[in-house]
Amino acid sequence: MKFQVNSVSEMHQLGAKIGTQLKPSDVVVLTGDLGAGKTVLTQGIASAFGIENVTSPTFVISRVYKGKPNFIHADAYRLLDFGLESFTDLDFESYLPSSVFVIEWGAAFVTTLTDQYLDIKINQGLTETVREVEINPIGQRWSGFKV
Amino acid sequence: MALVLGIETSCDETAVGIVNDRKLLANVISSSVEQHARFGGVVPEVASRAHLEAMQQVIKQALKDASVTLEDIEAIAVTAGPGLIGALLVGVSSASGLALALDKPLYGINHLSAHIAVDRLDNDASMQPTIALLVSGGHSSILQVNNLATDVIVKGATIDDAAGEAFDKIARIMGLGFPGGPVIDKAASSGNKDAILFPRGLTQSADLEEHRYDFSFSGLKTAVSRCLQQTPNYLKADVAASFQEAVVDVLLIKSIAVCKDSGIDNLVIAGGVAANSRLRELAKQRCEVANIALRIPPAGLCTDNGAMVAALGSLAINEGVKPSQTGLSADSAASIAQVIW
Amino acid sequence: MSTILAIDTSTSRTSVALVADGKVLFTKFHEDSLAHGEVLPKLVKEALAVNKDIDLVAVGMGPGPFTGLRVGISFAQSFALGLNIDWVGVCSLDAMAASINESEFIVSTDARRKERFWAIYKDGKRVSDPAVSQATELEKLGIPIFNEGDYFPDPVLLANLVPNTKSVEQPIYIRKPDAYPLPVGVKFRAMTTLDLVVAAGIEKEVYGKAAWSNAQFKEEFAKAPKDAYYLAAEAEGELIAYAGIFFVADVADIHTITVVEKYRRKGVGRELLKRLIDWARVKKADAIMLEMRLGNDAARPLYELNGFVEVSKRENYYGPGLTAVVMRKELK
Repeated sequence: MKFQVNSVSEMHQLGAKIGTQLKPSDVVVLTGDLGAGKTVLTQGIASAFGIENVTSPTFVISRVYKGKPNFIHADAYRLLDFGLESFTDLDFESYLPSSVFVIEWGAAFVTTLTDQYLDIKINQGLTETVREVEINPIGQRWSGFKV
Repeated sequence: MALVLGIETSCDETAVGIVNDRKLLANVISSSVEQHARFGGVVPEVASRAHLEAMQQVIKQALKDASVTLEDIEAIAVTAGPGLIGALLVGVSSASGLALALDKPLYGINHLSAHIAVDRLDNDASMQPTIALLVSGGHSSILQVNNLATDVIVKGATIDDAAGEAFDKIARIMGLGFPGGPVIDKAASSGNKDAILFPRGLTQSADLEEHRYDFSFSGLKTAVSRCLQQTPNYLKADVAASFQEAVVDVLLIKSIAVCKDSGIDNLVIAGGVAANSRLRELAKQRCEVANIALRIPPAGLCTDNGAMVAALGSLAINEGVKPSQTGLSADSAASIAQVIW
Repeated sequence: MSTILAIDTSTSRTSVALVADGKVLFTKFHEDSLAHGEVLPKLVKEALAVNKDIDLVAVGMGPGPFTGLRVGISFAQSFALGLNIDWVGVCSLDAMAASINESEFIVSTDARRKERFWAIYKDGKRVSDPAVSQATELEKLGIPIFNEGDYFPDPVLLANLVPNTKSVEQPIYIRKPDAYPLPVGVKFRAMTTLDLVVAAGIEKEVYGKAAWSNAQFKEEFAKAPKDAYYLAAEAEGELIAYAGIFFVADVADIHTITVVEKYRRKGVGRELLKRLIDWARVKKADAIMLEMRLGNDAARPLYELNGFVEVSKRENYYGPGLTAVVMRKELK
């Protein structure tokens, strides 16, 4: 499914709509260039869990917001030059049953964690402020997923 | 007097520092960044694994440098958050093991406060309410520090990227290497900071209401990226200098505004980005003009280290703060409001 | 008199025991796969209240999930350092096996996603290196399996193993295979002229206007095997993927990696890329380059994962409005 998003607040709203549908063990993967809006979308998703202070986790690689479920916001950008081991070393598997994951730049690594995830791509739209968001549900868990 | 051993493992570094009250005795850092750079991107060991491997060696080296033994140590301090959970756990577990074996108190420390606490080392300036600009790879915030051990309030923070992260990302797309801070600092030194006027995030009048003291570096990041794509023969030095100027300018505009508005005319700048030469230079100039007393720790103590953790531990003891309970919990997303837990 | 503090955190349990010359002074565990960090110090503190004259620390070195392992091992090493005593590492599976009375058996613990960490024991000794495998594969071995759930690494047994085993100095990290197994029946082989016809059809389907023509394909393909390498992936007798790379003036250029829709996201592209990179190394290329259509860059993370970095964009490369992203991987 494709969405045209015309502003930062629309991206946030889209995120919130996705967030309300997430359950423990859910993994969302975000792909998009620098500045595409991955963190904004994540802020929207996190707001559905009552988390308001989400910022980019690129440097620290992942942040675990404790709760029921835990909300884990990760960014695999720094790991892209290194192997799969740099990702599996994070041991996200241990957290999966009790957490929801949003992983920026996670497409290259996600299958080491799960084969069912929501694959979201954010592309530049026709003008500078517009984005095209493409959501691909992958796996049984996501069949019938709608926003 | 307190002889404190501090452990820091919140992200890339495995670090141990030893202080005696406010005197720095040892500061040992094992950097996985060095490993990354050394192997040119083919790293045999990765972050959390590296912490476990390096920890014992780093502790022993710090004791040796300080010429003390573990029996002499009166307290252990450890970064308990925020940071990468797997990395934090290695530090916290090591610290817990040491503390139980030595039967000494353990202080779980906030990484962000520790960056500010490092300013207390090797001087006897009295602790006063101060505004702190904390800028690193993972954080960019302005804090009002009424009491560093017990009372810290957030006045402003980034709404998207941290300043240090912007340096890393821009350096990467310019092909300059990692970490971005030092390489951009170096490239900028021969460049023209006024060559390109990049946006200063959240400084428009519309922003001043809701985000008066907040930062946003995402727009700057995109502006630089676009500039690089549209200018095939760009001069690295000029882009680096102009980008750096945009960051430094907005960091200072906002933190000095907090000083003015709050009536607190003390400013501390801390965190990895505080090692940046242009920030240090421009901060000095602008604070002089604004009549603000400026303190910035030596560049070597601005990046992540164990000495800063030990420094905050030492302060905690002096302020009579209770040590942590056994079973200290690491908190990946700890907020600045939790200084010691 | 030797009092041993034994710790294991290789499973969802955090367990601690204090054993003095075979006599159990303390043993306790707590079940919670994410709480090792908070629980371990508390259990050790309880043990110390019973007896604090400890001579040696024994710790389970795995295999197991990293999070728990790191807590146990870093705690044990630092605790030993603080008391100025030695620490000894023991394979956690051994501590589980020691309670089982069979002549030949397998002990296994949970490695998630239907996989198990396991080892074979015969006449009381471990006879295989700890490994990780699919649970179904393990069952095929025909040896009785004792799983986590009925049995756990027992710190008391861990302590008892200490006198007779050599210390395991490094954590037992068993990497799951990098590539999750390729779908059954996918075969890789050199591409042939017969494949070209089918490939041309796949080209049009996948790339539309940016597809190569039959003639272009033939021309590039003719450079093989000296200056080019083309390989094909086949499943159920049909061509499902192909890839090509050629070599010009010290640089190798990937011309294509194409996988039909049905077989995407199964590791086929990753395997093709791996083989192309190997070929380039054999040819002693300085670097590998590729162009990718912006917007059709589903494979981009795969390239970035393998060390490719974007070096430029070429506007209108594939046609009006179709930009190419140029990426490069240094080999030297």
